[in-house]
Amino acid sequence: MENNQQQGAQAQSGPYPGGAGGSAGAGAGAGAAPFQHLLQQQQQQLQMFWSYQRQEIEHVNDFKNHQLPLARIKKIMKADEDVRMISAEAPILFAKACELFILELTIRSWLHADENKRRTLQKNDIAAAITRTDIFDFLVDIVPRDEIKDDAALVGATASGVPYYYPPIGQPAGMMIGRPAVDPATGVYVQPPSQAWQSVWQSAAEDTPYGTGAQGNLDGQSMEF
Amino acid sequence: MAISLPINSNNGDRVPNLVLRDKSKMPITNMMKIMSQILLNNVQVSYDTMDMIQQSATKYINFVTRKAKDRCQSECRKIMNAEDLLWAIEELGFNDYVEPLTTFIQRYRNIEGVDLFTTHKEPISHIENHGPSLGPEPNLMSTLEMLHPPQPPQVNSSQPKFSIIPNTNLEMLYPNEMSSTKIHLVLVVQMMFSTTLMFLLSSIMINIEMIIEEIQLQLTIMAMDYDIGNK
Repeated sequence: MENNQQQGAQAQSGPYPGGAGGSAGAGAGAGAAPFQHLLQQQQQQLQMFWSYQRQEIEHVNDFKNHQLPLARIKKIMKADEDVRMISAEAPILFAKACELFILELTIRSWLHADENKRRTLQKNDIAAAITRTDIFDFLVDIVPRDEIKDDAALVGATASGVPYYYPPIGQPAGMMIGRPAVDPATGVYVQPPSQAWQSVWQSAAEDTPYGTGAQGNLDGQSMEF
Repeated sequence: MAISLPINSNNGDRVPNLVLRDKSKMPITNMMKIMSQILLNNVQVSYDTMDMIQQSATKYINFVTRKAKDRCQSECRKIMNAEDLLWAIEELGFNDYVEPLTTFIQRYRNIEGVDLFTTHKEPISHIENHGPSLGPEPNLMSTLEMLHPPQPPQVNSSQPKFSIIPNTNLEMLYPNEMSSTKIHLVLVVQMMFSTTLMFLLSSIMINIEMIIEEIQLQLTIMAMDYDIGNK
């Protein structure tokens, strides 16, 4: 019942106004609980990401085919004039490190886009990921100032009790992303199994939908600024 | 299978070709392949986002390189190696990266060590790795490591290498999709070697026959001289 009221409140807010990262909805329930729930969800997804990366590196067999060109990495490293000689292993290690960095930045940005029920990664998603993560402080100078304001407003909106629903993983490409089943008795969010999450990374083509409990997404259209 | 991310080029003011040709940044197409590993099929990435991630990756390399340079200078070393990068990554707070990268570079060295018994097409690099080795391999192994050629942004194929030892178990050296190519190369080399050997043997046999004929002629002349002496 409380869940229905929250959904109703969210439906009334409708699409987000242009330029604003998020609107402050009327929170029916307690303010702290959904925010902590949101943080726990994101931490769990990041932990699953890192455990998957550790497993993948253990099984990689082809060190010749790099996702990133080694000559380009070496050229960027030598942009610093004091760096004169680089060993053969350094660009290879950097190729993997840069790949991990891009993956982490992408997943953190996607978590932010998913909070706003969007299916397109935008600049404010990258800005939110950079401002929320301490180790990304060196990227603050490439974040525009208006993005920081939007992210601050969004954080305030989230803290005020806007509910967060995590969509299930592995929906078909054409189907709209739905919401997982919420236990009606206690209102606790049912977490998807970790196997499904890893299967999406390993082979995205093998998408298996969650038939039971999925609910339609409220905002069907993709909002772009 | 490669998943291609659709780019929403709604911003008309930006020229994509100029950004793609920028040599001082990471190439966008490679980064899109990396991002497609983690994003769902229906998730799109706007063009401003790709540009921002491109800048972030470039800044990340500069950031870690500057930190690694501090360690090289403090230890009075001129060559930056993998251990310097690992140290810098840990110092800068990327703690989750250290364990996967350590495993990665150790496994790379194990495979690269076995690779010493094959002849590389690239010339031997004069750059040596004097840093301490993470794995049990001695410094001699890392000294002989070579620079790999830069990969083009689109092509992911790698050049097969020539094997000196014909009977080497190629399954241990390369993954399965590489074995057939290596076996084919070994067979071709063996055929060429056999052909050359047969040619040389034929030449030697011809020379031996000529020498035998000449010896027989000399013996005949000596016999005639002996008969004249007796009369």
